[in-house]
Amino acid sequence: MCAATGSVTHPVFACVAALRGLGISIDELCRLCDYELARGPMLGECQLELQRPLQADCDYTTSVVIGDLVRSRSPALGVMDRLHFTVALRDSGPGDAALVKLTWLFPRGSES
Amino acid sequence: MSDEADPLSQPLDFAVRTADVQRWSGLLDDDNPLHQGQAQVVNPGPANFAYLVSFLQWRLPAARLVSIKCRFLSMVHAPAIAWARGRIIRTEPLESGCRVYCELELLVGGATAAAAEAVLEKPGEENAGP
Repeated sequence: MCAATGSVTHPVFACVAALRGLGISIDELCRLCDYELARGPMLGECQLELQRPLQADCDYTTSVVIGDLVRSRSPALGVMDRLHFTVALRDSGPGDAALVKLTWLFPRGSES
Repeated sequence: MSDEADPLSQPLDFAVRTADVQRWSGLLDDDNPLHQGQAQVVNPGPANFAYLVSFLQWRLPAARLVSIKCRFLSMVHAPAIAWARGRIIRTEPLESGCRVYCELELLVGGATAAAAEAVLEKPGEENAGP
């Protein structure tokens, strides 16, 4: 575990670390889902579980589990794909320091 | 818990600025065109999430965030003022302190842009409330 420096970060940095720690950019994530970034993907949900506060000046490693791409129909957005993924942030302490679960939305308009 | 006793019943406002949207876009390495430009750019979801977490930190400064689940319900366009508010649903005593369950929402122009449920732990006297 990182030595406590007293520099606890804002919890939103877990989300920032999760997105930056994917190993690919959001553009590349979109392309994996056969979606163009220019069409405007959106974050639908963000869930954060903090086992302990994240520390500044501490190294974290990330591991990602990507779920299925699920197609649904929204009254407001038409056809839409949802992608769930979970990012674990680990330091040298026991278990995961934080888990970030994200749901990304890819509106596809009138596509079927 | 009455509104008078619930610290989350007092809203807190956040300025959504175009320049901040651009900073967030860079921080997240997110070139989404929704976040680019000078007019009516869309605030990234994590920024809206940050408002709700900051609201909790401001209103319950001694408590530690354990978990939060946030649903983004509509886009927040800059410039705007976003209001965070919430309520404590219940508390559970811990060996020392208590666990606090709450509901939160982020309002922009009177509409709910994001809604969340959060769990915090507050150290202190046994069975202490928030």
